Amino acid sequence: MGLERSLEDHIAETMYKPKITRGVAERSVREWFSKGVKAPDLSKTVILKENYLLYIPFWRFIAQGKAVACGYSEFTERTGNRIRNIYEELVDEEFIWTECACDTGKYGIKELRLDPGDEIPLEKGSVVAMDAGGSAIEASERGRKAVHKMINETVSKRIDTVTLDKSFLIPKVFELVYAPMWIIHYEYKGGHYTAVVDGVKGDVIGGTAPINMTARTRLMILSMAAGGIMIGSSIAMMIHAGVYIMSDILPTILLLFGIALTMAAYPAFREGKTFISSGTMGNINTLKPSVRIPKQLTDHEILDRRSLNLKCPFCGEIVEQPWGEVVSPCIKCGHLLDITSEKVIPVPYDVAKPDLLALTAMKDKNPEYIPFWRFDCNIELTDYLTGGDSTTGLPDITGKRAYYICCGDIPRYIAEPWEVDLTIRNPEIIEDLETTKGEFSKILINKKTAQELTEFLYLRYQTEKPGILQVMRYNFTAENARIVYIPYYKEEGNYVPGI
Amino acid sequence: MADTETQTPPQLKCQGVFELKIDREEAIKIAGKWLGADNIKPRQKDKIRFGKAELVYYPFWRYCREDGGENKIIYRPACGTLLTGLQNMQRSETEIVPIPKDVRLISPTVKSSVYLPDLHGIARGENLIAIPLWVISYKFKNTIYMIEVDGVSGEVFTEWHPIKEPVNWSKTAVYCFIPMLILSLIGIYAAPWLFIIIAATLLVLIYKSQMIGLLSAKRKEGKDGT
Repeated sequence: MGLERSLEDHIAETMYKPKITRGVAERSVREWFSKGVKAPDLSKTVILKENYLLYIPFWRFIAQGKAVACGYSEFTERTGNRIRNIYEELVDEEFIWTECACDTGKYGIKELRLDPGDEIPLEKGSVVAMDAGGSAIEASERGRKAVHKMINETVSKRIDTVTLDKSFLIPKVFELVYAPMWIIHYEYKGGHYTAVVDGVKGDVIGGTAPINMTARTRLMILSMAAGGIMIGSSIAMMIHAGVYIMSDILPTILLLFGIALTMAAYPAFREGKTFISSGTMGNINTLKPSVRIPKQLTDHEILDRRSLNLKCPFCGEIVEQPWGEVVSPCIKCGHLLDITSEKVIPVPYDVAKPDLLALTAMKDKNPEYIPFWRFDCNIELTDYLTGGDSTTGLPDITGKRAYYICCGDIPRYIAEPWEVDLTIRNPEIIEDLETTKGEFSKILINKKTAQELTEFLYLRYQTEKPGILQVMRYNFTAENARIVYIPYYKEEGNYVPGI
Repeated sequence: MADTETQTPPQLKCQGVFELKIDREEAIKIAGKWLGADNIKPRQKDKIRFGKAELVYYPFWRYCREDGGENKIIYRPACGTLLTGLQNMQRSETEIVPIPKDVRLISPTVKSSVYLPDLHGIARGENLIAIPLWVISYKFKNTIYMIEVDGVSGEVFTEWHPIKEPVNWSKTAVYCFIPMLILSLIGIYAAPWLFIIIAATLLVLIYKSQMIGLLSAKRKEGKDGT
């Protein structure tokens, strides 16, 4: 499987500029030495061995998350009445997922903590950077799953009991970001440790340090003594409760708690030689050694090499997709082509006819043709429940119908009402394409994403109806994808539909 | 997926390598000796299980600089690496041999100009060479560690490694656990409320004095922390 050439899968490589100097990084680490349960004389005794700047690659996936969620929250009044509040929520937020794209060995850096905005394009060889490893496709899939999870978590925060929950996402950016980090290796009483300092913010984001031996000993003593007391007391209570009336279950709970405390505390404090910086140093014992070995080509590298010459199936012209576009016309014959890294798939398309009113009103202007994916959808509703009055004058879009999803460079808040209008009232198609005049916009959303958005369009439409949606079960199919260009006239920065 | 031919831009090619003088067995022997010398108790030395020993050729920029009337050779890694000891590499060897066939040579990815702002003196030359390193993994008490041995000089580059403990943790645990268990057994049986007061006082005393920790200490720490 090759990497699909689309906006969401195209991999740009960017980097952050370091804002922290070597000296500032060292000062941050020395401050960090005196925090937490580290050896008390660490900052005095430590010997800094190496301090160098290294760029660590991270996969970053930014997507617009959309979800429809319905459900209810319940509470009991003082009078004993059970009150149920029903909710219907639309989630429309940007979500960002990041993941370290290389084996950072014992440092265990997992995610990027820098916000998008200050990056510059990466010039290869100009900085000391770790190589990005692994498959871009797999990383992209992990990103999608993670964003779906984030959307679901957002929903569950708003509604206690969810009865309907459907999430969708529109990928915006999938890229490799290189973040500068100061790597500081140091020695303390024969042990070797490391601290990792964020090269932009100056925070210590990971590292190992010798633990405070006094604190460790005290904690071991306390936990083992407490465990001994709990176990001993519980056994004594089981043998003879004396004159005290107590529950039968209390000694058992005490015994189990004592065993658990002893079993957890002993290995934890015995092995706790090293303080591990919170949140960033997972799996310290199981990580593979950070040996860099020659690797197989990743999908990303295959893309970079442009090893395949793909041809238009109609005229034989060599085709290459412009950056960011997912479907583009052949330069020679004009057919719409979906160009992946392995093959070229023709995409059928139509052009909608501007109506007479628009042609008369915009006599001297040529329209801009905005592309929409059109799917033949079939929705069979099997279960439907709303709270409140749901009587509406809006037409029903359930059943067989053509759905339209805007795939041009138009903000979603503008495009979404257009999609509903076109789905309710399908446009008339021009039969003679030669007569069309105007500019055709680029196609930026691929078929797969658009197909998912058709379902969201249906759900969004249902939530816009009066009443509070609670339960909806349905069978949904979307097939026969094609592009339909719809004419719009630009007037004072606004779009006026030409149909 | 296809195998990588090379990702090295034409201008970044290693001109040669330092000749390998330490073989796999010797490298493991050096690593074992180093670990046993100061870091792990001799009787626990047998618990070290050596895993893979990979010979990896790391690319380095070798800068020749004239500084204060002296010629100095400075080495800087020509690829991104998290291994310790590679940033300030010192070498006495100067003889370069051609790159052997079928070796694991890491592609250089860093241009020589990256390090120039940090270098002192007058530039007298620079070239890209590779240094063989044995990267050895080993397991000790369920933890995997790593150690690097220079394939030319046999120098050990230390990564995070096991260290000797000043306290006998098993003794500490037993000294706290068993007496408290027996005390509480007897106490609850005889006079529960009095026992709770005595146990709490004991705990505070033990905590404050670090008595048991010091009793079970393997060696005393000097005032200077040694």
